Amino acid sequence: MPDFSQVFVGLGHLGTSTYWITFGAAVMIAAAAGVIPGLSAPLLMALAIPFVVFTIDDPVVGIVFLATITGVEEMLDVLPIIAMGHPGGGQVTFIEGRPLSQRGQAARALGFVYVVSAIGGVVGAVVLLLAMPVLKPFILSFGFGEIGAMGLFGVALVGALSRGAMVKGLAAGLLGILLSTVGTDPFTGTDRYTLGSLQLDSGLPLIAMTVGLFALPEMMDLTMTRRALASSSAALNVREVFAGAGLALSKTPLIIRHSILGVMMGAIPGVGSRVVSWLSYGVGIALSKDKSQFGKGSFDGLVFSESVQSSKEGGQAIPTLAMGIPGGFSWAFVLVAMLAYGISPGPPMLTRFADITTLIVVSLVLGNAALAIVGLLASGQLAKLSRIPYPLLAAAIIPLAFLSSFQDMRHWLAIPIVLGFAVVGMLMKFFRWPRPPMILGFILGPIIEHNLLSAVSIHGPVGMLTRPITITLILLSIAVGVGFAFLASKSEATERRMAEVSGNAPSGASFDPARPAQKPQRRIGFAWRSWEHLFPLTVIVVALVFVVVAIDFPTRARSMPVMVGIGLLGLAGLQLLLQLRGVQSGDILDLGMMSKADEQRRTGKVLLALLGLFVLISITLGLKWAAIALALVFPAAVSGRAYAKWGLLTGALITALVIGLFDNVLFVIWPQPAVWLLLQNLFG
Amino acid sequence: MSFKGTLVAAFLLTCLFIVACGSEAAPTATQPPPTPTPEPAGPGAPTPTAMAPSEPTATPVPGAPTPTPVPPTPTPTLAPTPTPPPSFDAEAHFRGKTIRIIVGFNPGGGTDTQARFLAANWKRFIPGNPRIVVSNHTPQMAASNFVWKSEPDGTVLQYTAGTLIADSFEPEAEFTVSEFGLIGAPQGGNPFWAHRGTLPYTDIRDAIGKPDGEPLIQTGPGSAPEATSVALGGMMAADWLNLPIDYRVVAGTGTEQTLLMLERGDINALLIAPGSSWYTLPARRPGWFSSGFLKPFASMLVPGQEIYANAEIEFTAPHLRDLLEPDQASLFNALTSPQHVALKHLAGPPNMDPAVLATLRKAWDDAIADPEFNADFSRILGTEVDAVQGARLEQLYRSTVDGYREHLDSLSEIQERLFNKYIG
Repeated sequence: MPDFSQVFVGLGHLGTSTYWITFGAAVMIAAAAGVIPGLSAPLLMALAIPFVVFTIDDPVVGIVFLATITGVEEMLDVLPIIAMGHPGGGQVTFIEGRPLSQRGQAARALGFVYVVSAIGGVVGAVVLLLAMPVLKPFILSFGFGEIGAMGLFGVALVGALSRGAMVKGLAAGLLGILLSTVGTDPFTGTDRYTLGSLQLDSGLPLIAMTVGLFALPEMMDLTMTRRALASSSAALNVREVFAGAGLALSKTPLIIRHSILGVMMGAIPGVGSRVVSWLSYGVGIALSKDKSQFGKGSFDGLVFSESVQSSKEGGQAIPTLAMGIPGGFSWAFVLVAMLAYGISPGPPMLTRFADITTLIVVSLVLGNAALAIVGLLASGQLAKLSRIPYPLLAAAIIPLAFLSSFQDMRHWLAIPIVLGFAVVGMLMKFFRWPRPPMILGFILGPIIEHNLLSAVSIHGPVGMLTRPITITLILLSIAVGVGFAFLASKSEATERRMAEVSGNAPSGASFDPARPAQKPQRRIGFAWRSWEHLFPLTVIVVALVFVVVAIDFPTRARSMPVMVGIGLLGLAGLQLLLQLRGVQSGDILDLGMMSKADEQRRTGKVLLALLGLFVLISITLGLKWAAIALALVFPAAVSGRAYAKWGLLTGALITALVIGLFDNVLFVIWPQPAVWLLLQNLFG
Repeated sequence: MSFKGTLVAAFLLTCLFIVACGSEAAPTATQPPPTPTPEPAGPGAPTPTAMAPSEPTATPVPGAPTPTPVPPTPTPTLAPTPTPPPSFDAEAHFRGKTIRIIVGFNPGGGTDTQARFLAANWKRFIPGNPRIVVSNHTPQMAASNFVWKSEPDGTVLQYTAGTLIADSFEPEAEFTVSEFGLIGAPQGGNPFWAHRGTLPYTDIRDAIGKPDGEPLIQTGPGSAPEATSVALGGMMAADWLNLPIDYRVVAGTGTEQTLLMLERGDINALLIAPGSSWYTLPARRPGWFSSGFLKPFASMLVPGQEIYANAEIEFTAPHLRDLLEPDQASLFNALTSPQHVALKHLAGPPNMDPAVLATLRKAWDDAIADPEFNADFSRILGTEVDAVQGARLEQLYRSTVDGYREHLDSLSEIQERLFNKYIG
């Protein structure tokens, strides 16, 4: 039972100026972290911890300061996604948000998302308050087996993300899982596919991988159009923002449903923040009657993604405060501060320290509301960013994407990883292979492998299957998987009949989000049709290499790559066979090529030259100079000399970021240019 | 150029970049490594990746609310620090300079937080009051290699977690651990074995000679080479003393996860790797010790180390080393101490000017002796500062490395045999 006298002590802080100054600072830090690409709340909190602990004497204020940043950190990160075409970490939101921006609805989408996030955040805070005293048994009932089974459920949801291309989708998902096995195996310490690189011991870096696979191809594609995200006639004003807010309010039951899902997923230690949006999106699609709307600018899709992002914070606070187990990366900082202040987590958080818990809940509600209001008021103007010709935005965003990837991995290897995955991403986009299942597979891979193998060790294979939650989730996964396969085959049969009647064939090279679903076409016999066969062939080679190399690993280290690799061999082989027989897949849930063939030819050459220049300067002068140079010349090179002055602006922006943030806050150790190293080796 | 041509050219460009950049970066490595003779990685050299404790994120504090506080009582007694020669103008050397502390972990972990504390508070003890900044350079092996190759002028230092000696036996290591310019460590290690109060043992003495008794179930390594540190020590002890033990092989055995497993009932015993857990558990899990939910089973300390009361109870269980035959104890100490001796410490590159090293060591000792600095550092560490001076650290590392190397030949055979016996 909460100690109500302490609750009132906590509420008493609302009458002090110290609280409001600290609260305002926390909200501003969270806003900056959300809006400025490359900054993140965890990074700022890590830098701030010693400062907070030794300068803010009142533990209540210090802890609430950090908790507020954590609770609202992801509220405003939707702005660069929707208004600037920068996917960042919100791929799901980008999939639905970009088509809305293209349709001139950026302002409406922003208003919609802010209200969805605010409701999600409030639901998270309320559930935190209500569930903290009773949720411990629920948390403890989720062991390795249950979390692993939840990962399997996520794989089953790949079906939802594969839509008209089930084989391609499943193959992409397995490819993601296979790539997630790169790094040191946590059971045996075996280095798997690291090629001797220390930096790959902890696996392929998620940020560099998603920037390459998803963000860079999208930014290049948009750049090649040489147009703005939204047309000049698009309605981008406060009225539209509030129309979006109204639309969100009309979907309150849906938002609450997914927010509660977000709290539950957030409360389970080990599920991880990155997977919740994808799982919620998959569940949402699975429960929707009209599945064809997703990936084309669906407001419901934005609900699935954004509500859980906000509400999971309340969920992650529960194990942090109630059990001393950090629910998420940012909550670990809150725990650090609690312990440094001498505040122990657990039952005292509802008695002796109920003031802190109360104030955290109140601050989460107020923080979400404050940022929603800021977002709603500013979005009428900020949405107009989507009217700026995209190449001018890309001039700042592309160098920033490279710098963020490098900063995350702290090694030059991040750059070739980004470029390598960009090639894969472009090929997938061009040949219409869905990328979302690959990202989901990459995120789910470790969750499945680590937890299921651990569960087998603890309970035994039979014992694991006698646990009620585990078996329920596994049965649910099978049901969902079979359900999607059935729906896919039914849809394929329908589309085939339609194709036979109309004789339509997909063009493959361009994509209109508003276009109706592609109709699959089938030829009799085998035919080598085009370059697109090279993609499944490459996947087969990759799978084969992974399986062959894994044979020498110890049993625990090889089971996952071998099983997944063999599955991938089968699926990629099947897809190749289908393609050779002329059977084309239907519409996929991913963003296809926006630029037209003639635009690709013209601007593609310039982009390639710019990337070449970036690489050249990286290896001769250094990465930071390469990023500055890219930002400087990009506008003029892509949009013409008339935009050279814009280059000065983007160049100055990146220079300020490099000097201000990277050199003087993060004290980044830049990689020495390869040419210098070579010269040093040659001449001592 | 067609779009497909563009893609092919982009791919080739990526390959070119990979080839061109195909060497490790070392921005300030202006000095060739002095004696690049890392300890040979024997056939059974430890690969501590999986069993090594993950970087802790929590840095608790003593003084947390507890039922019966019994303050920890380590009393650091610092030997007089050799002062730099009068001819060396330390103030002129460091004035206006920036000291960069390299941390081999991401921002926000325990090591990073402690390094950031040092950056903000240690500089006032260094003549010339230099600026101190923290740079994260992951993983720790890369950070150690980087510092090893840095200019030995005292402007590049490393604050490390405690696997440096074991790391130095890895093939990727470019350094010789005892040749680093060791400045000091804030605390010694406290590895211990604990069990749930539901088991019918007060401590290890009740379980000796009962291989068929109710087993202590703990997390264990997934392969023989991973059997190092406390995991290896536990197996050796079980083998020699006929203890009832069993293992569960799980992915990642960070302290938080292990505590959660204990709470869920997946395991009923803990082998806690060196660190501050003994002292910090009362703050992280109040009442676990005082209520008898968790009991000390044995200390895993090597000679020269002691364990004191924490904020809830006295450590009443015996030292494992005292229960073993002399030859067993010698082997136990030699094979487990690389992970037990080296904890978080501050070090510079090898071949530092003795005057610069002496200046930094003196600054460290002065800081530790300063009550305000000491108290604040204790808050960040989560336990009392139990400092080890640089010169002592150097001796410890040398003797540990020598002892480990002496028994290296038998290590892989022991790991293989015990792994097959208990885990298979």
